[in-house]
Amino acid sequence: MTDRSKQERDQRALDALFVSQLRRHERCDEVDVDHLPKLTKEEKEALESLGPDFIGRLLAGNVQPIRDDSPVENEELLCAGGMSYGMNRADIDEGTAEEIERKRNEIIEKHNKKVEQNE
Amino acid sequence: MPAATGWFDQYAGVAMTAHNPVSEAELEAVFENDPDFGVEALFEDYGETVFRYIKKHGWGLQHADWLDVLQQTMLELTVKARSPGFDHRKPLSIVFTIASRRIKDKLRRKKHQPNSDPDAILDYVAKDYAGSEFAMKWKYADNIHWEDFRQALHEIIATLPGKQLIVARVFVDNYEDFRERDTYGPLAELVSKVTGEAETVAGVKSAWHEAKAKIVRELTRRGFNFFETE
Repeated sequence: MTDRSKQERDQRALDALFVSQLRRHERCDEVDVDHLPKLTKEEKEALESLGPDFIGRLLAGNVQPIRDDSPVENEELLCAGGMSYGMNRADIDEGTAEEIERKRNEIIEKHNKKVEQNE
Repeated sequence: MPAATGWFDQYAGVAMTAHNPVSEAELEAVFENDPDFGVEALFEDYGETVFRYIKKHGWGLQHADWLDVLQQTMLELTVKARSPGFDHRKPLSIVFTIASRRIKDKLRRKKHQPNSDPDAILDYVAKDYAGSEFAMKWKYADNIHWEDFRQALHEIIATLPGKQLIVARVFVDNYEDFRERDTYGPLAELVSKVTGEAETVAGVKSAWHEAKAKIVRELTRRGFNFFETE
């Protein structure tokens, strides 16, 4: 084997190693949360840029879907809750909507109190 | 992330702290009783975990894209959790599943064409390993913690500069197609679609080799020193 062909073989082996590790299948109900990549300082700052009231705004309906990001893939969430997950797509009736609104207001109030306490 | 303050003890029955995140079973109980609290509890204790998941699978995208995915994921989770008949089991699996879908959407919108079949690469990986002393070293090494290796690989690859990162993502996503034709021509074409510029074969090949050299250097620095050959 010449040096050149040996070098090429090693490069191809390296390609195969990286591809096999980076394309390793991971079931969504078997995520190894202990080995997810750590965030850099910049990435943590990006996450924190959402703000401490992100969930409060989201629950209040003040976080809108990203316009150019409507899903192009609408498959069932098969590994999340199994076959019964299809029920999650049912329409919301008026009574339920009112109940959700009441609960949402309660939660926003609790959330705001919590934020005030932390400040 | 703000520190948890034990405010959902009423559902979980135990005091929560930043160092004692609510378990998935406890999250289920929260979601069952109050979906909005479930969303809040999940983000409080697992928001960073979900973002790390997005970093792992959305490598090659920008930080702003990861944030878009995270926001979209939490929005969808909220809508689903509020729906009548919501199956509150495995809420973390649900959020990872939504995130996974939205990452694929984002990659496609950025003109990536990821092949998702993990089995499609097996024959080509075996062929590329064949005859390499390099590959024999890591294939039969018994002291490699592959979970740690993959974590390090994802951390390192995310630090590659723009063009190298895009080339790496396209190469990994379409490896079997390139190996089938044994040329870098298709890689240049696919990278051109992502960058919107006419990329040359020599340019993408060089970028991929530079990226690999950087990854190997950093992996070696972190203690994965099986890349050296005698």
